[in-house]
Amino acid sequence: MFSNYFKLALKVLGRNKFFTGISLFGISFTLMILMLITAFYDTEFGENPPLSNKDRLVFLSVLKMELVVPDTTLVIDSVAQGGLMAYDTTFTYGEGTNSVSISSFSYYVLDDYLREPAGVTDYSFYSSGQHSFNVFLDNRKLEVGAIYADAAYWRVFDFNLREGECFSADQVQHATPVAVITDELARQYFGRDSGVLGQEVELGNSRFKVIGVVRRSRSMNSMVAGDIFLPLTTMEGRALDDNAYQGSFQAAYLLDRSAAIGPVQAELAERTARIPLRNPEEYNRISTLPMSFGELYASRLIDNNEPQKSLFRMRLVFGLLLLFFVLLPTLNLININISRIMERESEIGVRKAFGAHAGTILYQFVFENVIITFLGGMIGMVLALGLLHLINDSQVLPHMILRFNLRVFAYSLGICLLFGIVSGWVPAWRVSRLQIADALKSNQL
Amino acid sequence: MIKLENINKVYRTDTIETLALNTINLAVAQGEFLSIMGPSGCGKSTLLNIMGLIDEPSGGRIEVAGQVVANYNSKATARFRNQHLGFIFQSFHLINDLSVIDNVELPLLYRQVSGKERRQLAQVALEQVGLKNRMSHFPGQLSGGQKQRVAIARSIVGRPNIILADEPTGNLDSVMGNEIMDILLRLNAEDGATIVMVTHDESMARRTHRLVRLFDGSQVQ
Repeated sequence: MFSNYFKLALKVLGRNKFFTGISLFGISFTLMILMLITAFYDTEFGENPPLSNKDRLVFLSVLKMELVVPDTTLVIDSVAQGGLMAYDTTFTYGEGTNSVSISSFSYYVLDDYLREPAGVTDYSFYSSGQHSFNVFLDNRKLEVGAIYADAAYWRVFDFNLREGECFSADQVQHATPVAVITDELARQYFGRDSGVLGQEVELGNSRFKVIGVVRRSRSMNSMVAGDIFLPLTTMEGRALDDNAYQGSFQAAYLLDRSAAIGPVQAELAERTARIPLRNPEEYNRISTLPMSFGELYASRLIDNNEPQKSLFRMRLVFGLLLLFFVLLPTLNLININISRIMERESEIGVRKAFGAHAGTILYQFVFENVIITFLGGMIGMVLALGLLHLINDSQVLPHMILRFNLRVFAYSLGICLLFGIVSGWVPAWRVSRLQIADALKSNQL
Repeated sequence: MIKLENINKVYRTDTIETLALNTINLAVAQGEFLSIMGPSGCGKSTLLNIMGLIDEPSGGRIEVAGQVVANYNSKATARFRNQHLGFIFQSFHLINDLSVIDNVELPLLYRQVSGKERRQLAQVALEQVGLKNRMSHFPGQLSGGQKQRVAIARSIVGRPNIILADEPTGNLDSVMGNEIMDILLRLNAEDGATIVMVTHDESMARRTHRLVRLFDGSQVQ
């Protein structure tokens, strides 16, 4: 039966090459866009190293300090009544913010107040996204992004170690000048991406011995998108000794497998709010918004102060975009399919006369449509691969490497299947209800 | 084999009611070759469609192959048609995109029959109509007579008890028409197939066992 449907689907495609071309172009172009979106989604939100555990991570990235003062509003309403004025006075007691400071955490705050919340397996303090070094090599300028981290960083983020090892707690404690670099930096700096252990990298006035090479994160997320990783104790200046509240550090907490994210977020928020403030006349309130990975991502894109709403909005925009990309071509394809399938009324009459019931007809036409969609999907996949290559090559999205991996392939197949079923179902359902006698009156086969 | 009692068929629109069949009582015995004649629009094809369960009567009782099928749901009716009935149409109704053998296999697609067995049965059916050497041709490459022979092979491949032929020679010249008629008579005589044939051609009708005439939806002979 399948081979019969398959043969027929190919024949129908070959019947009107122009129509088939237009139809396949529409399908493949739509699927290419969807695959691109899927590849982007997978890179940023899929379970890829070094963020395989992103569902179990809670981040502290922003510490907010405020000077909050009582704020009273007085409203006087007046009204003329019989030649006299009547007054109604309302007081509203609230809060006003005189000054706000928003920044990352100092190492001191994290170290003293935010260690080991309940339900957490491991946690790491690190400083990322703001340490950029210009390195000059043979008349070339390299811009190297550094991340300063503790030893736990390597347990929280599962980088793919290509050779050597990551720095240890001991090396962090003794501020040993060692470095873990990415394969990309190794290639740019040493001209090869392996066999560089023991070599030195010069950053500013310091030299670091390479002890490990990791595969560069494909994601643009700043907590992992560095070129070189150094023990946080090797940071220049007084970053670790400074007892200011704010600084350049963030924290990532890896939850126990059984722990819920909400209580950990609540505990971290509460512990931050209880940090004693030395000078209440400058700032009398301290707070943070511990965020899940999605919330952190969305809050950076949309609104730092409302991570949950931002995540919702981001999902909504993504969802609407996907819907827009799928719905319009689907409606168009449904329309084309209705006329294409209606041309075959007589065939439907014959099939039904010889024993096909409505379900079989429905199945046949959906199957045919899925085959056409899969053909379009294959073309779309080739186009998507080409486009991904172009995007990666041109570095439109800096450092982000979009991959067409097995999971994206599986998503793409799923999308093709869904697209084929949805766009074939409505027309197939309509023709499957045709009365045999009416269908047989059409002589077109 | 087929028993029709007080069959009526009324077509209704918002403004007009047309009586296509008026109290038809008819019995077709097993192995009988019956022809139905009458002027255009007298209800011949409607009657054949009702016998073939591809149209429903407005009133009356039908029994086909000993079964009263009025209460069958659409799935059961489809299964019944597949196992007991074979159809031959005036305009052949072959699927142009499928080869001759794929067209003949069609009724077997809706049964639990393996691909290999389907092919074998289709070959036997094509052999019966003398078209074994045209198996991989497409309908567009065949003459009218050959197309109708393929349609006959398709109607008999599932070994149905009853073959319903709606003007099978209507689109053919007399030579080809006679060839088709010979095949139908042979199927009736050798295989014992019960055949009901609608025709306009008196000479063809005379070659069958019995002739029923319709006029304005009523049986007149």
